[in-house]
Amino acid sequence: MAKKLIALVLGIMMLMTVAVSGIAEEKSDLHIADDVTLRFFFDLDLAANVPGMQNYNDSDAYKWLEEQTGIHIEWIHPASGTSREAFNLLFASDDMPDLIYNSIPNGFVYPSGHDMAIADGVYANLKDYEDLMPNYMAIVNSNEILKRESVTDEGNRWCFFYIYKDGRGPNFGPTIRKDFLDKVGMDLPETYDDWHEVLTAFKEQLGIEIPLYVNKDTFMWYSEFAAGYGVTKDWSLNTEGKVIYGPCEDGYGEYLDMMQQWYKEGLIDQSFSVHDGRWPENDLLLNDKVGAFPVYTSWTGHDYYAKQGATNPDFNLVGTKIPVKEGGEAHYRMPDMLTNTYCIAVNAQSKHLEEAIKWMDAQYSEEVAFVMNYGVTEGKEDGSYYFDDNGPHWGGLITNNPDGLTQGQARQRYTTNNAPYEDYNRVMGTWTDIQRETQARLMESDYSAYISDSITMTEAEQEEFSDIMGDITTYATEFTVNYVMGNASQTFDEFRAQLKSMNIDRAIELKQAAVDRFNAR
Amino acid sequence: MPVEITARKKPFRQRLRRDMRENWVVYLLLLPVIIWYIIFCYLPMFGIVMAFENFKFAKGLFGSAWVGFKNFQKFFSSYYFWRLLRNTLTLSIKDLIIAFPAPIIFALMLNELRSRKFKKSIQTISYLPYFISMVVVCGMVKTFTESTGVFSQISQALGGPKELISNPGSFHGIMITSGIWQGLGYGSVVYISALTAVDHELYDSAKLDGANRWQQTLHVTIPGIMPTIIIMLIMRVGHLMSVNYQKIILLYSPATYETADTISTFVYRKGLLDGDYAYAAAVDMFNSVINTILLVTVNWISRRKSETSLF
Repeated sequence: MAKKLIALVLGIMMLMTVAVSGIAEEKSDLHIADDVTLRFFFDLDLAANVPGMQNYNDSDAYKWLEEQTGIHIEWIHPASGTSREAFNLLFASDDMPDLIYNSIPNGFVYPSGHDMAIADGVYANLKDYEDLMPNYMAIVNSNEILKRESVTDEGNRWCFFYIYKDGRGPNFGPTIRKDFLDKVGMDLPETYDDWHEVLTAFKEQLGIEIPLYVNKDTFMWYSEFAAGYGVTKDWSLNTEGKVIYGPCEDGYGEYLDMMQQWYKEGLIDQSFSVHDGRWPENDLLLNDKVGAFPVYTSWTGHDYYAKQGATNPDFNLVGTKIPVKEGGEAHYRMPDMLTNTYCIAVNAQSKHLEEAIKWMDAQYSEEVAFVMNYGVTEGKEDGSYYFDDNGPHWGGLITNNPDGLTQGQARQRYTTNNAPYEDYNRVMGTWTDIQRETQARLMESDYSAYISDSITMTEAEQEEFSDIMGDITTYATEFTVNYVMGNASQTFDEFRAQLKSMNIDRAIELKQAAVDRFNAR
Repeated sequence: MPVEITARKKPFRQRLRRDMRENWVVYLLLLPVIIWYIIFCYLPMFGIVMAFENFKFAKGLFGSAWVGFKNFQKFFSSYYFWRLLRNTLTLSIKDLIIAFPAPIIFALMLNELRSRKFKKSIQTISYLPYFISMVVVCGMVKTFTESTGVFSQISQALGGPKELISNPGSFHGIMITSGIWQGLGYGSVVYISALTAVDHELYDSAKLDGANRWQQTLHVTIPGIMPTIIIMLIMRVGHLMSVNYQKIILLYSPATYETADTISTFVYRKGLLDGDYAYAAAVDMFNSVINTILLVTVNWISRRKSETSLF
């Protein structure tokens, strides 16, 4: 009798364990593989930017993704300042990571171009794997521009582009301290003459050390102040749609004369060759030493810099339009983006090629994209997202982080700041009126002069182009800086003649050919 | 007939083996250094091949196409070739003429001090700047020489350039002065130790001959440390062409390229920032060839004039 009882109990226990393990083994639909580790090179110094995070595996969104897909990612984040070199060295080493971050505007591209990257067997040609990437292909094929931008002239698909679901307007432009403007009783400047008045007032009435901040190498990242003269610091299209090289044009000479005048009057940072950040360092900015400088729209207003330690309680940064000549127009600004600058290429020789592709593609599906954008915890006050009549929004965990993280840091920690399929509305939803106004003002100038980053050249063309431009870019930068500082040893016309003798016309031809091919795709 | 008994030395290998057995500790100490030199100095020499190729990583060192001297020609016909050469040579020669004698003079002056305590404390204070990291020193230099910095203010008051760090004319001055400030104490150590090795009897006999302090320095001290000076000079010439490029990179800017851009900084920009490895390798090789010629020449001259030479 006892034996039978024991047998019965044991039998029930066994059934229970089978039932329980059966439930535990139910895998998610997103499951891709077990025990696979992919190595991913991504240029972001998270450890420096977000306290408590070493790499993306510390973000809730990526933790969730790992659970769902079963794939572990080993992130490779280069230390800040060394990323360019680290990127170039990737190709020289024997074990390239499985996934590699590229960024065309920042110069993180395979040296001889995307088609060569595929021909050399370094990047995988995703064209051959389109059936493994249904989510991404659906998105790309639904938009004419995306279709064109996401392949090369030869029709090769060289990477996964990070895409904005509903596009994204310009997010970088000139900003000015509204509180200073109020003190001198002036309106937001629109023309160059306005700017001159405003900066002079800053200098003379308020004693601001650096009325306008410029960068030592590039002057202005998106050539904000040159656009009104119809030029940029390098390549753009003129009003007839032809490719021009900024420094060759008359407009550039006028621009330089203006800048030189402003420098002489002390309206431009007198030590700009030493202050080499893209925007001013905090100790200059927060101590009210800077009057105006180009920066991100999302950093305007009061709060962003207040969190960074601005001492002035009236600190108020407001965005302006791209400056124009009296009665003129500007046709250049940062473009409306459908794609973020990030492009992820897959190592052609990766041992887990298919898993890597499937993993990337998963991030473009509705379910995963939502988590990447909004995080995993629901809750208006203390969660990372909540829903209302207008759709999803970020919750208190992000907008009002209890641990004191800024919004940008909280985004990295609980979601991810740059999701592969990004819903930019979530960012704009958190904007203050100032930021919305800034955005609106920036949208007033179009970007018809902008040349897409996705134009490509053949290997031979690329080599010739780099050979010519190598010395020219140094020469143009040097001349610009010296001219503005009043130390130029040549006149502008001599400079242009020199550019011609350095074969700039051939470079313009090459660029024009690439643009024509892009338009014909 | 007298029989000649000559003692012949044992063959080299036998002597070496015996020495190794007796002094194996010393050889063990030497081993890591030899390995370091092989790995980081000799093996990379094979990379010179890159300078003659149209180098592509995907094809590797031995798979890339051979182009002979094309990369060198590109460099020689570059718009900036003469400027780079000029800047490299002028900066190095100025550095040699001004910064090389400085530690020697400093050592001689220290030698004259009577009070030991004073001498020791000056020495220690003079060493300290050497141990500050170059990045920190350059940060300080930039702060002092930008338009709101102390030195620039002085310069403005004297009617000179408004900002020193962005003035091409002052760049060499800034490099050399900060170099002396940092290297003076540490560099003088060699000379101070050489000074102690000068025989005291020579000083005594010079005094007997009626030489005053200055004449003693000229005729006893300096000849006494001359071998040291010559060796240090030859070694310095070995660095002539690479003239401290890390410091230049930290201090220069497009405003000062005119005098600050040297061959090594150019190689850095082209090679590491632009990824044009073959071109950078060619330029650097040119740099090294010139440097070697200079080194061998100086060594030969010194072997002829005095008997001291490095090799």
